[in-house]
Amino acid sequence: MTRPWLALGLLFAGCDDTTFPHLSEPAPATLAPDRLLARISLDLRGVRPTLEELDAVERDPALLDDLVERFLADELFLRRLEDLYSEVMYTRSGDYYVYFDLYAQEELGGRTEDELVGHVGEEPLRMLSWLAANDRPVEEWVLGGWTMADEVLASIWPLDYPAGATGWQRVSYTDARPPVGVLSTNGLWWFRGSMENNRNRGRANYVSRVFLCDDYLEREVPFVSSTVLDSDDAVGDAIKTNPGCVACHDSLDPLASHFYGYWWFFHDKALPDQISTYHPERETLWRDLTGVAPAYFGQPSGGLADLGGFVAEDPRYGACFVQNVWEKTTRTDVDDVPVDLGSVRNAFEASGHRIPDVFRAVVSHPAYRGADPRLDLKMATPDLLSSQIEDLTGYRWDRNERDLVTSASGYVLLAGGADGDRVTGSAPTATVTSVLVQQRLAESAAAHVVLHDQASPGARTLFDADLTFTETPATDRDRMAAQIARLHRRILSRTVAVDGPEVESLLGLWTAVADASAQDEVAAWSAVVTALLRDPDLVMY
Amino acid sequence: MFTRRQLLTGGAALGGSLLVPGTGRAAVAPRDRKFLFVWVPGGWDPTKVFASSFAGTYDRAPGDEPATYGGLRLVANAERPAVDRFFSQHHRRVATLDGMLIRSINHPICRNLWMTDSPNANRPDWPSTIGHASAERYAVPHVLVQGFSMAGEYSAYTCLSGTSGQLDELLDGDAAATSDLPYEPPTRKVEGLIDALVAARSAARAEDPANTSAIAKHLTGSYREAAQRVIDFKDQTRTLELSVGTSLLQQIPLAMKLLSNGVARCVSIAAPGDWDTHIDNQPQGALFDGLFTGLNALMVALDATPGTAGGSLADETVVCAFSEMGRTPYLNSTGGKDHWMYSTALMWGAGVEGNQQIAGFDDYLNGVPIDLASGEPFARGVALTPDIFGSTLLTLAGLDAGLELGADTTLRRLLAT
Repeated sequence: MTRPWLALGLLFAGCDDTTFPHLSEPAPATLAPDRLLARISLDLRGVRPTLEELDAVERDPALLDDLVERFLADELFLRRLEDLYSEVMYTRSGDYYVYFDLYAQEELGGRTEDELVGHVGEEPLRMLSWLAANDRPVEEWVLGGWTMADEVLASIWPLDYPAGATGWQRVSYTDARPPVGVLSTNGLWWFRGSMENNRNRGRANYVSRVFLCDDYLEREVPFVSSTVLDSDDAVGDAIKTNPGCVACHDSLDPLASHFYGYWWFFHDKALPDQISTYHPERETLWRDLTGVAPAYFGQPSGGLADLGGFVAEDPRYGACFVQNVWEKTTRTDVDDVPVDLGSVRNAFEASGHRIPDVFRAVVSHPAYRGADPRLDLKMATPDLLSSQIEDLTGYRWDRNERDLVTSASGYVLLAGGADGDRVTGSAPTATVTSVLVQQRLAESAAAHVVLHDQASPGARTLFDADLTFTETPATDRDRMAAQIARLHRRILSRTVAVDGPEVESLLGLWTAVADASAQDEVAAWSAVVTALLRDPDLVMY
Repeated sequence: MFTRRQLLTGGAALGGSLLVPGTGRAAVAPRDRKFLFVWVPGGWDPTKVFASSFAGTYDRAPGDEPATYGGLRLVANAERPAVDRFFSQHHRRVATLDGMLIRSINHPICRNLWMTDSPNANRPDWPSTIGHASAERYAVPHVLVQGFSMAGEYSAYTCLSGTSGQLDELLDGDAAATSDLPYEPPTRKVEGLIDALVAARSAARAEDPANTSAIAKHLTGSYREAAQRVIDFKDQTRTLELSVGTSLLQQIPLAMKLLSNGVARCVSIAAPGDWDTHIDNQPQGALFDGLFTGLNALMVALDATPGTAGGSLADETVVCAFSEMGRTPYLNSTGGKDHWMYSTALMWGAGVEGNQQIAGFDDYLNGVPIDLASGEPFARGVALTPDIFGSTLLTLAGLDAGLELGADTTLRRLLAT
């Protein structure tokens, strides 16, 4: 909780209907089975349910819980977990602290910053998903001498990556860095640094925000009317003595003193040799730079090697993980939309802090399933827009092998995403540009899948196997209507009548586009699929 | 909503105009005022231009000297001629809000505070709020050519351009062509057919009686807004080059077109350059000169561009130029200056009383408190804060600041009578 006073305020406000506006709204019934299935499938796998899954739940809604188990065991759940936590860590799309320019040289791999971020930014996220896949407690994220790396990272960092291997592997750094899991990874500290004069405080706050859900930066700095802040030394004194400064710096600065092994002097930040390795010889630089010894919220610390244990044992760590999963899954902020998360926390504790159990408890929560009108509908993130369209059509909107919908060099901000810097929060509603991104992605994906399915009658991605693509409304109206109804169900997880207005309007579009394109069936079917992929229900679920 | 044709042919009738006595300038009603936000991201050094104390505690650059331009006491330096030119020519129109207290020294948080009075941007920013209030008259009420967005619940009324021509690519369909697996986008006619169907489905979704919850009504309604606005925006910007480069001189012509064509009520642009001078503060001088070269050009452009009420854009546009934070009065050990909680905003244009400095900096670069009612320095008064900045902007826009923000802290002294 970043604003505990808010909760207290509500407690003493009498809890009337104006304090909790949701109580004055009519409570909806639990979501319809097809809608709930779609929501769970998107949240756990990032893709829409298949027609078979929809049919199964329609026949027997009790099968939903079996499907939840299947989704949690799916590889796609791991990718979804990474997507979701990338919104907490911002390592995929944020502004990096180090400079990558030299890596563009041939002898250093010849990769641009954009390409490298596509690998570096994944390291912390892949560690989390490895824990989920291997049924390990989430505390191990900050404990032990391990990390995850692929062949690109292995080519630039000191890692014991197996010779000849490819893909993401569990490995260890071979330099002298302390064994504290993600807290000792290049991925984390290349991304988040602090200007020299800020003495690692940015990193300390990053740890506090990401792992403890306590963001110092959301605290307003008390008004400090002082005539003494006229030098570095005076500021240093104020931080230690001025009550307005001490409130934060008393705990922030000792936390910051853990990270001097990742301290790079200004011009070093562009030098691969400097930034790829840990610097044990700099661990005690705090003596000269702040004079504040490492400590963890009042407990003396021996340095970074101790930090993982402190964080793992901090009760805020597990609670923060639960909070992050809930907030990112439901697209709400617990401060603004308070919900009793006791059942989720209990499931987390009972499982020994396993990640899938948190997600199972979240998607089983009555509020998630429709009992709370404040969670009745939510926006899909750019990740979800991309992953579900890729699954439906086989098309991913790449440029130089990076997904344009989710990368900073592409359209992630215009698609409604955030990078924690230029845009500090995801757009809570559709925007002009998110609708535009959806449109352009839909157009290409529709063309791709129609051309593919027309050319591959034996291996259709989206269309029925028996559609010949020669049908017209004049000759095969019923066949086309049935196909459109099934497209509707597959793409939007919603059943519509073959003679209903949705199908009629899409048949009308098919005819109008065929007329406008010399009876080009590909253009006409592409328009139908485009319209469905541009439907508001694709991104609101 | 107006179509492009209606806007272009009937724009002059949108707002009643009258001539301001003695100025030769046509004034427009507050609800018809437009807004241009000039971001200076990174943190400018107020001692270079705005903080005029030479009492001894500021680290001054060689050549800095006090200068008076009408009612403004500023800092001049022969190496920053554009600054001198700006205030020499325009001081009667320009006000400075000095010693603005931003209770943070973190870039994103300061930006949030400046533009929303909230550290986590829970509230839509000022341009989005102003734009939303007149959403029925503009395709996209707030366009960010450059700058930062915290549109919140009004996201459907705000449009980002991206940092490297992304909006242009999306609007004209080039985005598809540059991908690894390119497909020809639909013809314009087919695109129009699909647009119409999507707009109809979005409207039907928004009006679905099954939307019983507030969040469903809000999200579906916002989607309908965005889907319709995309169509209008594509239509209205078909002849505009939206990918314009990063200098102010490149951004200003586009901003003028967006405002004068009635596409947007609010436009944000941003000054380039690395203003975050922790290591070496020397570049601030040249950066200020470049900024004011742009602001001089902006003045010329506003005067020369027709507005929608019979005069020029200068008559109907409020301009704010600001940096999210200031910099320390002293140099640090690396010759740079670090983040400082006090900064400055420049304001001028429709409804703004120029030739005055509000509040100010003391000898230690702390902000001077003011009496809010009179705008005069007052030791037991209040600090100049973002809520005052926001209230004043909303009042200039014809909104009820008290209703929007919970309290009206408008700086009345800044309002032209």
